[in-house]
Amino acid sequence: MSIIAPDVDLAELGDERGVMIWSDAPSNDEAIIEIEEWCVEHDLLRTREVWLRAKLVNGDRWRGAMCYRPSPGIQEAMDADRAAWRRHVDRMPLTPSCAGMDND
Amino acid sequence: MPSGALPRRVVLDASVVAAWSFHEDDTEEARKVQAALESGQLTGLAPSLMWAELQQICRRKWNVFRVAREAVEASYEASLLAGLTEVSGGLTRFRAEAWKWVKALNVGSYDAYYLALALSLELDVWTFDRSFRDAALKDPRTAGRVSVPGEDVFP
Repeated sequence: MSIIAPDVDLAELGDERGVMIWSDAPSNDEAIIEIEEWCVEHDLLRTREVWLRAKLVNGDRWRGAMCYRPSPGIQEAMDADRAAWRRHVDRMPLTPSCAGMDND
Repeated sequence: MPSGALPRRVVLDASVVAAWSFHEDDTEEARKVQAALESGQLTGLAPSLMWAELQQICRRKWNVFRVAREAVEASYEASLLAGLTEVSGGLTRFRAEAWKWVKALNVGSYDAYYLALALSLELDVWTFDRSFRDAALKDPRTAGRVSVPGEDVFP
């Protein structure tokens, strides 16, 4: 499997300027994984599509996702939302796990 | 996967997401998994099917355990923040494979789909459903492929 990234300076990416990153992984799900992990290596975020756009290049199928570099403000908002969520969960009553509820 | 060694990618079942979305016994362990996702140390795959199971869990929280409905709904909505990598997971693609595991292991159909997805990608499933882990141990094709964080693996 391999990745195609456009010939741009990734450092110039931001909230408003993203790029399509393409993977030739053999399935949609494997392409998502490959692109997502490439994004982690490059401090980028992938948008949340579950079904990626596909294109044929010389008969080979590539699947692409829009990726961008989150600004500090986006990261701060995510961190704040997660912290608020944890406080919310901590205030909820302790209840048993529902794991295995479909095993009856 | 040898005990103690962390994989780079795993399939997470809804019990893990529920444990960090609601206040449960496994919440602290689930938060360690979530921290690994947020740091990029771990890629946690969740098939779209997980949302259906999570909705069932929500109903159970408010109907059976009488948790305030607004609180449950708020946590369900917040679960999009969890750092999961949602994949299609293939309801149709894995129909026959999941059915095979329902019959072979006598596990629930949701679990069978998580397992089918994981095996297709040569990954493990992490769950807090000990009965799912134990059922997988009974078959050499699935033994050791289903782990409980904090017991079998330590993120």
